[in-house]
Amino acid sequence: MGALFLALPVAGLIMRCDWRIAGAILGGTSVRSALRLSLLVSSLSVILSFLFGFPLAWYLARVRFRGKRLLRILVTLPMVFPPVVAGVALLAALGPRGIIGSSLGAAGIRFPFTTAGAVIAATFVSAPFLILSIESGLRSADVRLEQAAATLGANRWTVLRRIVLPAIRSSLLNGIALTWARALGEFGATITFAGNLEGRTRTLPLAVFQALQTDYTGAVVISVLLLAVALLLLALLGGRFFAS
Amino acid sequence: MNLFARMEIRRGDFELDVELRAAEGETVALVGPNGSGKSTFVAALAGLIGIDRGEVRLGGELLERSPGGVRVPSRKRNVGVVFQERRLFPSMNARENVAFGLRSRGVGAKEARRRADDWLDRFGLAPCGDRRVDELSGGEAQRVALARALIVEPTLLLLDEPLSALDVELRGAARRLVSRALREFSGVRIVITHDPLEAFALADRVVILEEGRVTQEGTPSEVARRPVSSFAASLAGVNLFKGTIRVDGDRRFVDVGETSLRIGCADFSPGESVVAVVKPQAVVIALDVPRSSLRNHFTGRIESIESHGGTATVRIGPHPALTAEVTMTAVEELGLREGKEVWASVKAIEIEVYPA
Repeated sequence: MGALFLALPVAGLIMRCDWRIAGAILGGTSVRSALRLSLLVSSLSVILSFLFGFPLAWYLARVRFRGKRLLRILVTLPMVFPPVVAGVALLAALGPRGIIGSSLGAAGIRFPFTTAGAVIAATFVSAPFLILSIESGLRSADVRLEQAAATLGANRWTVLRRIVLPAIRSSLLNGIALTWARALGEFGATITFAGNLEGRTRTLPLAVFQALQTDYTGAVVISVLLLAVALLLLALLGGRFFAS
Repeated sequence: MNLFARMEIRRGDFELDVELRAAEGETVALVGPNGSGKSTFVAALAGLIGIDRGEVRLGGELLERSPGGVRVPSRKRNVGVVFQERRLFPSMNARENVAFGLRSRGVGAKEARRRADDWLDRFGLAPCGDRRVDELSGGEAQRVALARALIVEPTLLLLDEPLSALDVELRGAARRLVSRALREFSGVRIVITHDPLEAFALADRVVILEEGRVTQEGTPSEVARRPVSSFAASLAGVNLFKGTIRVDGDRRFVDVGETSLRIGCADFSPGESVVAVVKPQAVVIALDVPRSSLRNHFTGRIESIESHGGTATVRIGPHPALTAEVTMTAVEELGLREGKEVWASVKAIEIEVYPA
């Protein structure tokens, strides 16, 4: 029953997809630009999540400090934010009348209706997946190996590259896959914070929403494309979600 | 190139307070029961944990001083550590493990690989270079760990329980390897062990550590002659014989001067220099030629009897000089007294043999 319930929508999507017109729709410039934008935005948000998230995960996993619980709650929060609320929150912080957005605006930096805004929205909602995965990897990594490497003359960077990263490889790939999938599917925060502007912020999910207003068949085709891209990314990352 | 280490380290209720000196070319064994602070000492010497008070100097260089704020990080200490649990890197093969120290010091990949292969070869590991760490046997893993520590030519070599994680069958080979590595290494050598016999056999000087403090220090024979603590007392009267292996058919002996000890271990080759270790409890005293399965019989005269509680330490000589530990009941029943002629016997398998 459960499996049927979960499989039914996928089956519906594939059966309602009109493959004859699929080529024409997918070849269209608007879908092509949405696909390119989706790949760009989700990739950038994975990279940003890693750059900002790794030190944070390290801090959570390896350093003892007061207020650690609070910090962990803060990191987890975007995961449970309703996406549209996340978008409003981002507007309140970085929007034209946001708490720091107004000074940023004065300096000429604006996020609404820019690709950078879409990247920020996607990163905000997806980074927690990566941070928590890396943190759990770092917790189970054997510190004694890092110590052994240090006695052999390895500096921090070498220890990170040759000992830590291989040790957390599986958690890291899991985290990247989850983060990427979340960023790729991001809709609510993006449309609220960055808007729905073709070529700038209209990623595939927004394109599906746009098409749905006028062209149901087109929306199904784009949905199938989005699903295929998500599956492909997961498969590229080792397909560990498909293995038992 | 000498080592001087004086350290006080507090960890909760535990307090380590140790002073230790070791000279270049000398092997010092730090011996103590579990929980005596040996691992803390290793970690502090390697710079993995800080010391609360004290000073560590190695070869004229100040590595740490507290208070005083001097603390050279692990990677700049040039202290080679072979950890008890080996700590080989599972993401690398054996060769990459050995080459790791060189690569970390900026040696090029090709050169590091060549030198790692030399070391693998030297330890009889030539066929293991491409193997993953979990495909190595216990003995091979130990050799890889030794090669990995030695390849960077450390000033101080720290061996933490080098023989403890090995199967009994591998002991002979592992002992030979460890004593060879110690012999060939010209810097300061420190062996950490909970096994007093191991310490006696490997070290020039023994430092006994109990509950975070040094309770005794001296050459193995000094400590054996006059143990000051109950832990050291387990070493009291341990008989040490330096000799060479002689093989006669399938029987193996250690020739010590004019006497000869039959041993049980098979994995030694003729002419090899060894130390044979006999615990006093393993020496049996009889009044007549023993007719038993015991393989080693010697006649001698009792030189002294010291009683302590229910047991007595009986010294027999002159060739070989043997110390036996027997019950007072046995002393009375056999009528043992100084000057009496007796037979002393030792089972071949009770004799522990270490390569010298």
